[in-house]
Amino acid sequence: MVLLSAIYASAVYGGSITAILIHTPGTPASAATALDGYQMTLRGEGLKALGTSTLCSVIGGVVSVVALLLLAPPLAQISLRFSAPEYFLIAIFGLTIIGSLSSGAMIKGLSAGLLGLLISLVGVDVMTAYPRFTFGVAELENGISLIPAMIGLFSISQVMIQAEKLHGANNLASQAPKLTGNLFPSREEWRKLRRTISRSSIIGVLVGALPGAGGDVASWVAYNEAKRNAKNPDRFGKGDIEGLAAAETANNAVTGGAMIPLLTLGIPGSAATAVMLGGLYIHGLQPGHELFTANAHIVYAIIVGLLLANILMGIVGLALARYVVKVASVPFAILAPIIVVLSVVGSYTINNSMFDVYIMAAFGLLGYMMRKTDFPTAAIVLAMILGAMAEIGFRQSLVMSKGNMLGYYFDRPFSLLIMGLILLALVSPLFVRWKRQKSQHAL
Amino acid sequence: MKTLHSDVLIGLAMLIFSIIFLTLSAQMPSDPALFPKLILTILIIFSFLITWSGVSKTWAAEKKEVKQTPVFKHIRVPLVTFIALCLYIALINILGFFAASSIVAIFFMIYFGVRSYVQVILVLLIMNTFIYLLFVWQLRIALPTGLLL
Amino acid sequence: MKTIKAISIFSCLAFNITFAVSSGADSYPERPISTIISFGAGGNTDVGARILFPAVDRELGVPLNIINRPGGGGWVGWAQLLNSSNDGYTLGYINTPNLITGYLDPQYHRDIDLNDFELIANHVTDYGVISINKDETRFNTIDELITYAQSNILTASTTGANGDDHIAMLKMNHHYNTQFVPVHTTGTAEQRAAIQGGHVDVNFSNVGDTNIAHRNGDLKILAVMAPERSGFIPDVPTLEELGYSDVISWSARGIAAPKGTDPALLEQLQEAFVDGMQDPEHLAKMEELGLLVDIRTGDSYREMLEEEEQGVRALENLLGW
Repeated sequence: MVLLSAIYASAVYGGSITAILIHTPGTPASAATALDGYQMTLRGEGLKALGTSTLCSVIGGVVSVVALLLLAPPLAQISLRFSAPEYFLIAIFGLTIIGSLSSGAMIKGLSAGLLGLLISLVGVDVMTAYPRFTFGVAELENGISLIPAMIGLFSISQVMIQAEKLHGANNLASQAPKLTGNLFPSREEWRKLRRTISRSSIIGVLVGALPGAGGDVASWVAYNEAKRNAKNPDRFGKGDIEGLAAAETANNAVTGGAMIPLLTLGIPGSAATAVMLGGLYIHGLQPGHELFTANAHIVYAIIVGLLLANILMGIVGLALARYVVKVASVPFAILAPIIVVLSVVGSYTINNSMFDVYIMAAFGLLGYMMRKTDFPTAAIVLAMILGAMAEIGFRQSLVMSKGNMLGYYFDRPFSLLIMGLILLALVSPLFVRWKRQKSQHAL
Repeated sequence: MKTLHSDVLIGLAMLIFSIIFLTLSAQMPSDPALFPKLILTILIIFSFLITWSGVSKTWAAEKKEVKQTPVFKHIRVPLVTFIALCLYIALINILGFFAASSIVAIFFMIYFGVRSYVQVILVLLIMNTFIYLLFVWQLRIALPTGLLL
Repeated sequence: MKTIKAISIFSCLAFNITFAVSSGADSYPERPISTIISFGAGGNTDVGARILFPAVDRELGVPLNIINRPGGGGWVGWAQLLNSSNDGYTLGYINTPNLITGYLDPQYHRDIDLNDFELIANHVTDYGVISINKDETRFNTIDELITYAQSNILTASTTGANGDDHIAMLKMNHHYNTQFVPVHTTGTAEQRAAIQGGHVDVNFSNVGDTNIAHRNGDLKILAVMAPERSGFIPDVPTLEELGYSDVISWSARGIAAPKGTDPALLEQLQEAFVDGMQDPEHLAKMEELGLLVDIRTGDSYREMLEEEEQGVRALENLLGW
């Protein structure tokens, strides 16, 4: 079990390294990382991006373990207060970021988001078992898998974009970015990051503790919040260290958070912890109050193991960063085939399915075309992550409200809270603009 | 000579796509069709907006004589890359994973300009060994096999 | 998902699903056998299989490799099983009622029935239970619940449309005029959170998912939809003994092979699986989990599935087919 939880924590971190260096998120949780991390690499700050990512992952992880140790029972109770309406609203809250993901035309960003939502609908409808847009293909019944789609949208399209620069076949001159800069962020940057990191840790732990949402949701919500509170939101997506820190802190803070409902209630907080639940069972351990009392030594072994794993991960990560970052300076001609082959293996192994490999290729082409025409690919991924959550949450709450939808939503403290946040997210940019205009007038 | 801005084509493609899928969702029972219909309707509105912005950009471009729309020369290499990827995937089914991967890796390296045979062989060796050790040996995943490997 | 994959794979390493050394048998089986599990790693079916397989490995002398193919309510895996070669080296878990509702439901256009599978042995039968929030005040017994539900709409969580929970709920509405409306969830975790958080009124689930929570006092099981009381929750009455004898619900899972597999091989497999299921260590672990090992082979297994099929057919109107 200790091994399992350690792997859980490091896998989330490992997915980010490739996201930063070669624009290939290894897990959905590191999709948000790719946005700013890769831009930093292009600027030659790959080392700093790795260092920041490692430090933030460790901080997020440690905070979440501390939360697990000290706050598990109350947080588990809070997580029980969340249900369909709250999940629907969290999804909507996450989706508000789409508008700002698009660097160019807002309308294209929104269209990409809608396309992502539509893609998330493919497959058997949870509420009626009706197969939507499956065209009789059994593999489509489970929906379009996120990882192959993401690999296509991010990595394959990246390879194609890079290939563009090679007009002939004789250009081996490496366009690889130069590597300069420090492993650690400067003191000034640290000061800037402190608030982002603490906010993102809390978001990560809380979202992690919810059975219906995991690291992928947490990293986007944290990214969104960081951007909203940033002094220069325009720099997000162009290699802003804060965006990277937010996503990285949150997706690792999820690991401890997700174990809270697992260990206290026997309800896995994420798909990965569901596997751990199986692990507990196979060992004859029953999660719940008893686990914390009768088998306390095992629980504490798991928690301490998770803590050590996080710290070890940090040490190894920092020690290796200088070597790992060299990947970014490998000539494209050698990197490209490796990325292509690994994309295929990665897509295949998720479900042992060649179909996922076809999906990956199709999304690679789609991603390339979108990037050529200024549609943000991240918006599709975000909408695919949140789309199903929004729809199921909405339709479940429709049934749960027994006809009085509005009253039902307004009757729930947490859904009111999230509605407030959504309103804030939508209104605050307008407010900021108004204020700026006003100050310009004053001048 | 008028060259249409790419947004016009994209907008129209989106429109056609949305209409096809809207007709498909019209055949669904009303409950599961709710969200698809909602999304597609908004998408249709957006596709009009994008088409319109494309048209206005075309006019603007006529006045200013700005060059746009990707030229074939630019997308040739990416296109070859993509076709190679598709052939590679097809080859996996026929030859098996390791054989197909080696072939495609050799192709890419030569196409992208690696001229040193030592490098090619080194990359092949390291790549295949790494994948074998990690996925087949350690994770016990049965990668697709074919005629060769 | 890569994370999950890595974890699931490491979990098999960590739990020592050891390779047994081939005992030098002259023919079948001479290489590892793939077993398709149509649900994700860590789910009930998967955990059950991982507990059982080491014992079967010993009987067969070759390892059974688990391939998780989740999706489509199990049908991604079953479609793959049906398309696999019937040489005895690909087997799969089949789960009711999803298997049966999946091919009976006309909206999928599946031209498949039980005869497309060679049945080997049933492994687990998990009966349905009806549970409520531990602090529920409106009803506290099954009688009170049914009376209340006859005049009030109550929301009921299930693990998905067309699953056993959904069907049990429809049967209740059909026979006792209750007004349960389904809130379908994406799995046991979400379902448990919904009832324990008090977001739904009633929870339709299975003994295996809820018996531990019931014993811990996290929720309250009112009745078990089985012909007799469950040994895991002996304090809970059956619906039948309370006078509601029309509703019995279970989900069962067992091992099957693609059609046309050599009968001699099937016999050998059946023997190995039955012996493996009787392994004391396997039985003890399943008991701890609250999963009822229900070994059935041959006609007895077939009859059970056919009975289930008839039960589903009788509900065609309710399911809107």
